[in-house]
Parts: sequence; C-alpha cells; structure tokens
Amino acid sequence: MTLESWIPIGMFLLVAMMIPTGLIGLGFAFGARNSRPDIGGNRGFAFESGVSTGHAGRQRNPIDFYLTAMLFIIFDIEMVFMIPLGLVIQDLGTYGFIELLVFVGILAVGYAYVWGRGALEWE
Amino acid sequence: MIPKPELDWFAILPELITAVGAMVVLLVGMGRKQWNRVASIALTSATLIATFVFVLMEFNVSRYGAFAGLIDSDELANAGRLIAVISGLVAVGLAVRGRANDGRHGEFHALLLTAVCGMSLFAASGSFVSLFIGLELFSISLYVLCALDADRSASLESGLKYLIIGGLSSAVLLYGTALVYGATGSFDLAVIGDSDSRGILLFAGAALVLGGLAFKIGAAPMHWWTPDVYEGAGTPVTAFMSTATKAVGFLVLARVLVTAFGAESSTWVPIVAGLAVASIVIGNAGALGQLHLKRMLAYSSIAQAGYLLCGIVGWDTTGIPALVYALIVYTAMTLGAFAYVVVLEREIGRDATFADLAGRGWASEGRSIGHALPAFGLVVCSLSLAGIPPTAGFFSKFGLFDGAVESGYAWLAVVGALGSVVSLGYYLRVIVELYMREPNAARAAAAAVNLPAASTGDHRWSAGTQLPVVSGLAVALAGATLLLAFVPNKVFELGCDVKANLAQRGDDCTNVDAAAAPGPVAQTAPAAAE
Repeated sequence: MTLESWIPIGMFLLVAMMIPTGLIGLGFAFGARNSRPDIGGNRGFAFESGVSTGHAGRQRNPIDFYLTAMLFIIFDIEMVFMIPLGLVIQDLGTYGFIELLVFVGILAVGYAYVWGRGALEWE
Repeated sequence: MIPKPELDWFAILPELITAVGAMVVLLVGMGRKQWNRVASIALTSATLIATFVFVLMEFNVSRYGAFAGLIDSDELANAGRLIAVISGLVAVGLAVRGRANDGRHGEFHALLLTAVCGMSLFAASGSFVSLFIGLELFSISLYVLCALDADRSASLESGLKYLIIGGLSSAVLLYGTALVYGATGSFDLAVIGDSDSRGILLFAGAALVLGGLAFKIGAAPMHWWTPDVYEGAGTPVTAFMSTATKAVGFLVLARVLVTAFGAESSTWVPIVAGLAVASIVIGNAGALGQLHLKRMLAYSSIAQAGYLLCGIVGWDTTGIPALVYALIVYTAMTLGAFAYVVVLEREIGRDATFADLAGRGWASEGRSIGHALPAFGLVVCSLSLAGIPPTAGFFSKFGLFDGAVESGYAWLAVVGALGSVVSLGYYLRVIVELYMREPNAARAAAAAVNLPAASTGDHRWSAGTQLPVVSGLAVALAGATLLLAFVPNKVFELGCDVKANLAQRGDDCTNVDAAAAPGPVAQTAPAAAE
C-alpha cells in the first residue's frame, strides 16, 4: 500500500477536524460576548433542549420533554426509512409491499406498547 | 423489477420465532394482572422451547450464504443458539415471581427474547453487517435488562456502565469492520478470508475487531466492566449474560478469526495467547480477595474466559472442538453457580457474601434436604469451575489445554494449570464455608456491612421466599455438569463438525481422538488441568 492511497483519508481527517474547530473558532471570533450585561448571564449557559439550566443541579427535572423527544426521534427515523422504499416499491412488487407491511407492523407493536404504558401522557 | 435475492427463511427461523415471541410477550406483559404475568412466562418459555426444538432438529443442516451472504447457519451457529436458548430458559426460571412487585415482567421477558434473537443472529452471521446487527440487538436488550431494577441504584449503575462500555466496544468493532472493508472490499467473512489483501489496514482492522469482541467475552485487559456490571444486575440477568453472551461471543470470535482472518493466524494466535494469560492472571488474582459471591463469580468468569481462549489458540489442532465442549460445560456450571446465588438471595433478601454460605451445606432442624441439596449443587459447580476430575470442568479444561499444547503453546497450558491451582483458593472457600463453618448471623451481618449500601437495601427478593423451581434448577444444572463429564466424545464430535465447517477443508479432525480420550479412564493421565 503506497503512501498516496492515504491522501483521501488525510483529507477526510482534515475536513473532519476543520468543522468543529471552525464552528468554535468562528463563534469565538465573531460572537458577541457580554455586549449587554443585563442578559449576558443567560448567554453563558448551554442551550439544553428548552429546559432552563440556570438553577442548581439538585432538583427534579420534568422528563416528559426527553421522553417525547426520544420517541419522536425513534418513529421519525423509522419513517425516513420508508422514503427510499416508497421510491422503489413499484419495482419490488408484492414482496416489497409485504416487507413494508411487516415493517409497519413491528412499528405498530412498538407504538401500542408506548401508548399502553402511558408514555405519551403529558403530566 | 428489482431481482429478489435468494431467501432461505429456514436459515433464520430461530430468529424469526424469538422475534415474534418477543413482540407478543411485550404486548401481553403490558397488563399487571396475575394472568398477564403467568402468560408472559408461559409464552416466553414456549417460544424458547420451540426455538430449541427447531434448532435441535436442524442441527446438522448447513445453510451458507442465505440472504445474500448475510447468514451462515451451521453447527457453530446452532451450538450458539442452543446455549443462548438454554440460558434464556434458565433465566426465566430463576426470575419466577421476581417481578411481582414492579410490574416489569413484560419488559423482562420480551427483552430476554430479543437478546436471544440477537445472539442467535450474531452466532449465525456470515458477514460483518449481520454480525453487528445481532451484536447491537442483544447488547441493547442487555443494557436495559441490567438496569431493569430501577429502584436499586446498583442496578442503574450496572446498566449505565454496561451501556458505556458496550457502546465503546461496538464502536471499536465497527471501526475495525470499516478498516477490513477498506482493505478487502467486502463484509462477507468468507470473501475476506479468500482475498489476498494483506497489510497494515487489514491488520489494524482485525486487531480492532478482536478488541471489540474481547470486550464482549470479558477477556482481560477488556474485563474491567465485568465485576461491577455482574454485581449490580439482577442475578437471573447476570446468569444469562455471563453464559450466553460469553458463549456466542467465543463462537463468533472463532468464526471471525478462522474464517475471515485464517491466513493471518501467525499474527493473531500470539495476541490471543497474550489475552488468555492476562485473563487467567487477572481473573484468578481478582477473585481471591472477593467477599461478594457475584463479584467472585464475575472474576472467575474472567479467568474462565482465559481458559476458553486457549481453545482459540489451538484452533489449528483440537482447540475448536474443545472450545465447543468447554462452552457447553461452562454454561452448565456457571448457570448452576448463579442459580444457587439466587436461592441464597431469595432466602436472605439481600446480596450474598461468603459469610452467608456458612453451614448451609448441612440438613439440620429447620433446614430440610431441599435446602442442603442445592448447596451441594454449588459444590459440584465450584469443583467443576476449578477443574477437579470427576466433573465436566476437568475434561473441558483438559481439552482446551491439550489444544494449546498441540499447537505449540505448552507454556500457555502451564500458565492455565497454575491459574487453576490459584483458583482453588476461592472455589474451595465455598466448600469450607458450606460445610466447615457454623452459621453465624453476627458474622453474616458484619460481612454484609461491607457490601455497597445499594446491594443491601431495597432488594428485589423479599427475605424468606423459596421456590422449588429455583432450587430445582440449581440441582439440575449441577447434575448436568456431572453428566457432561460422561459424554465428552459425543460433544467433541459435534465440535469437530463445527471446526470442519469453519475451516471448510473437510474432515480435519484426525487429532481429535487424543483430546476426546479423556473419558473416566484418562483421569490418571498427566493432568494438565490440575
């Protein structure tokens, strides 16, 4: 294996490293820091999925948001899988359609479980 | 029209049965009524028994390259499937009435079935893609199973640690797979084995794959998660994952190393031998100082992984048949030991230490033979784990070390034999406690103080509950450990088929007679295992 064949990997690594350093560096260079001291306090905190991070750590956090978000992501991804299947479903014929039904059936079992267990109820 | 690949449904029927079973059990187990609990146990057992029967019927049928090369269903796969199914059945039995209070019986049984499904896919995978899917399927199920006793912080800790370590090992394995694909252009194990690509990329990939699988089988130096995870998880789950995960992990490790990287064996055999030495040393040294029974068994399982790796070292002679035999024996004796731990935990209502064993070997007033017999089962399993002759553990170790010697690794067998001597230090302590100490409540309580607080309070078993099914399993598994000592030839033959399939070079098992010889006659032969 010659050295040249590693060039693509090197370029990949370079780009991969440029993305995070670029993002952090650009924000560091151009981002406004404490330009308005009255709201500067909150800017310093990380954005945490819509939940306020500005309080002491030892307190109860509502879990509804995370649970719903997780369930959304799971079902969302499964739906994404159907898009390529939808493009070729004509070519796959009956077999492809049955496969699709099986897939949706497994999803439905998961949905029934989530529903039945009360994970969708917002308290 | 897109051409449909050749689909051999029979090649994945065990996985299909368990997957459908898991979905049904998940829905049935959602209710919290008595009939829901009974139904989920019954359906889980029925699913596992159906899988068992099917695998047994089709045991010798090899179906290579099913599903466009993703599945290689052969004797090796079927051996792994059988072990996973039996471990699953034992775990169901050990957990009977264990979830009466928390209503998570549906999740427990469904996850157990998905874990078995993932393991059998893992064992039958003919390509790195299906191998990874199987690995993730059973790993994710096990993460949740470990953390299922969510009201015990030890259980949550165990689940979290296993999740992080498991994620790391999956990442390592996946990265190795990517490098191997880069070197050979294929995920198919047989194609990788046939490719003439050599070099640093393939070597690095193979090393990462070996590392990722070594996490799963708990071989040193990738062992450090084992004690904490085994201690924190519920004991039926620990029993299941310490046997089934390890067994399929070893079988797949053998398949990957021999089928895909057979040509590089001169490189990986010394590395595997090094892992074996590290596991034997660290496992035995670690187990010596343990007070907690499950931690002791966890370290002992690291040491056992070291002995089992000797079988892979001797893959080109008699190692693989010996490995298959040893895995079956390992499953029986480890499940037996954990079964008695469950018996004990249910009786005392907290995690068990060595001090809790004191005097339990004798039947006295208040303690019938039904209490003493399972304790004798623990004795049998301990002796077998140590490798004392009349038990199957002796023959399995003999076979493993014999394979290593035949392949020119006599020093490894010496290390293993020395490790076995050290292991007597903790296995015999079990017998000393059971038969030579008086039961002493104060001493047991003092020992329990040293347990992490999480293991003593809020234990899932309420003290004093005793079930015939659990005690019966402890006795039956000890009986199986003894029985397996009398059929090594039969199981060795099975292992020979596995090996012939692996190497795909016909009957290459001429050396097996030497290893299969250890019937009761060979006890006087140079005892490598002692």
